[in-house]
Amino acid sequence: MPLAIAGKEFHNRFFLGTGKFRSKADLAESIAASGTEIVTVALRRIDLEHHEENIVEYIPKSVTLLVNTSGARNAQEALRIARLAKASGYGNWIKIEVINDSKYLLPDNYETIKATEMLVAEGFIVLPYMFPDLYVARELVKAGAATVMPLGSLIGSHQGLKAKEFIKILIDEIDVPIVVDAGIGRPSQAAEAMEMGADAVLANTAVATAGNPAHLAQAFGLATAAGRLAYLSKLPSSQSHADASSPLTGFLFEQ
Amino acid sequence: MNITLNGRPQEINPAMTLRNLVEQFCKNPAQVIVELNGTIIKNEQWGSRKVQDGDTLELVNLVGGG
Amino acid sequence: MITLEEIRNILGTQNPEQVERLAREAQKITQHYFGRAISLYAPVYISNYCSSHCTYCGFHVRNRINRIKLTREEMHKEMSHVAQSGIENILILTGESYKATPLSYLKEAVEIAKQYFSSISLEVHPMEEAEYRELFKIGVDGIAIYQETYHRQRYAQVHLSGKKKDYDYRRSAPERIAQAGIRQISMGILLGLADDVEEDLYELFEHLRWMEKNFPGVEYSLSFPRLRPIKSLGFEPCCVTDLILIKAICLTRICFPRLGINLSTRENAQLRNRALDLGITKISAASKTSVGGYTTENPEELDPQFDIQDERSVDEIVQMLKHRDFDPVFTDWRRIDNESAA
Repeated sequence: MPLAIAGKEFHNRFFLGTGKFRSKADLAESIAASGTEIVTVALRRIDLEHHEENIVEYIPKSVTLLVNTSGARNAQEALRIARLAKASGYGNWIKIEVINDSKYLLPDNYETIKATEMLVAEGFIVLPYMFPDLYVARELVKAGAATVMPLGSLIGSHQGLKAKEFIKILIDEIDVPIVVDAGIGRPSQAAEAMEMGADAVLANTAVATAGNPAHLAQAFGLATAAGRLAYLSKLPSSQSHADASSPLTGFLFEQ
Repeated sequence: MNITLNGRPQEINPAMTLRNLVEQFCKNPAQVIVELNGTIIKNEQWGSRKVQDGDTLELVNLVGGG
Repeated sequence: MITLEEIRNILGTQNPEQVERLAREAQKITQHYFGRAISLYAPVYISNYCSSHCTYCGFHVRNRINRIKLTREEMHKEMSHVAQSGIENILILTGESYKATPLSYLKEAVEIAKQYFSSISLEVHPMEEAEYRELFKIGVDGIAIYQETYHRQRYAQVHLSGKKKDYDYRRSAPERIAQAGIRQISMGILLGLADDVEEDLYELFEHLRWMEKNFPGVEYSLSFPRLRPIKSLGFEPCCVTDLILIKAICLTRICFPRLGINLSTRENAQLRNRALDLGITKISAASKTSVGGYTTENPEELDPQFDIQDERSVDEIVQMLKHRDFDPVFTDWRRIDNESAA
């Protein structure tokens, strides 16, 4: 079954970020190799000195563009960026990223809730990036978020699922898709997130800075799919063996 | 005439329309988003719109990001 | 959440080893989240007037029993008697009669109970959110309301007349209770009512999951009263063996680690003792299930809602608990003021 977000279906549950790639060619190959159907991009002032090629040309038209609000330090700035992104004509899917912390790049959950409310009110499809907190996740859903995107660990740290137990709680309690974002450094970590029931994973730095980005992108695509299949197969739980004697329930079988 | 362009002071010819400016400074005018004094200006209006002295102009576009 | 098929597999197993494994898991989880604490409470029936016809219940509207509802003085008498045994949690019960025991009567009962008990729960007819809110404001901590069975057809078969016929009104009551601010909600099914126990359990779990997700601040508990045949009513419940009951309790504990699970004196002492290891966290002690049953001089004249199978006194229960290293808890907390919270 595909992943459904805001009426769109995604058959590939690996999302790719497009930042930090050494070359646009790397990016294009990585998108193709992973089979990803949704990528994040950012909005920046045009570099007036160096004429950069526009990133959109390297992204196939069939891939959904998710514009992030990176740079926003509060909800108002996120809204401004979202409006600019919409004016670009590439759709109105926004990944809310509100970070007022240059040391750890941790998202501001409260501003993210505010931003979600504001953007949903203006008709954006909102995918908020957040620190896994169940109360906040509930507020985001209430505010109209299409998914919730908890961080696995700090952006760019490759530490995988440091927040695993708390992500699991979101998976169990929140009814919109859970997309694990940030800190996914290895395909095995992506598989791990999918095995425990995440709906999708997003990786960027790992792929962009790999020796061979396209290969790693392909690996991520495969690992994500493998993890999803494993989850659907209902992994057998490891069981301890019972003794021959049954002190707790033996009485139920006595004549 | 002086405006602030992408955060920096920039001297420009007062006769220039937004379209002229975009074409002068950007390689890919089609990809540019224009925000003048905090308001987004649509593509269709670039030809008719001129900037004033002291205006703040932002020319942005989509780039790689996580 | 666990699927219906998985529930069928687990409740269907007759393999002693698998059952033991299930029990061990349930025990581990219970100890992990509850330690050795077992909460004690006592039911006090204040009225057996009922306007509904439930074919399985001795209080039903067409059954010829002596209809009583306690006066204020009688409530004082019953409640002080129960309080003297050390009980701090009271469950006030009535039949389901909107006329005989309206909200005003229930509020009177609560005001009296407040003088004797630190925690007050009610098991009464389903009502509107505004009415639940009034109960909350005067200090009601918990409401118990069981759907009996989630099987619509069976529900219609056993509820022949009265407001209880309204399946949806009853099923939506927990939502109204939570909206009203009540902190504890007890839900459950009557084992033996519908012949597909597994499906009823599944529906109960789904209902509980929905409540948990939408009202996460509420403390939930479940109950599985097991119906016994009642000759006078000519009602034959479906057979639910001890094994099925125990498996249901273990399974519930495993699926809902923090959930309170209650076992009343419908069950005998031996089974109740055993079940304490396997997920039960709340038991009643020294119960009387007839109106005025604690202080009556003529118990044989009264009509109990069900026959008590475990007649131990509070002291006996406490001794048994301590002997088995359990920690009897009379009260978790004391209410200060609900008025400002409402």
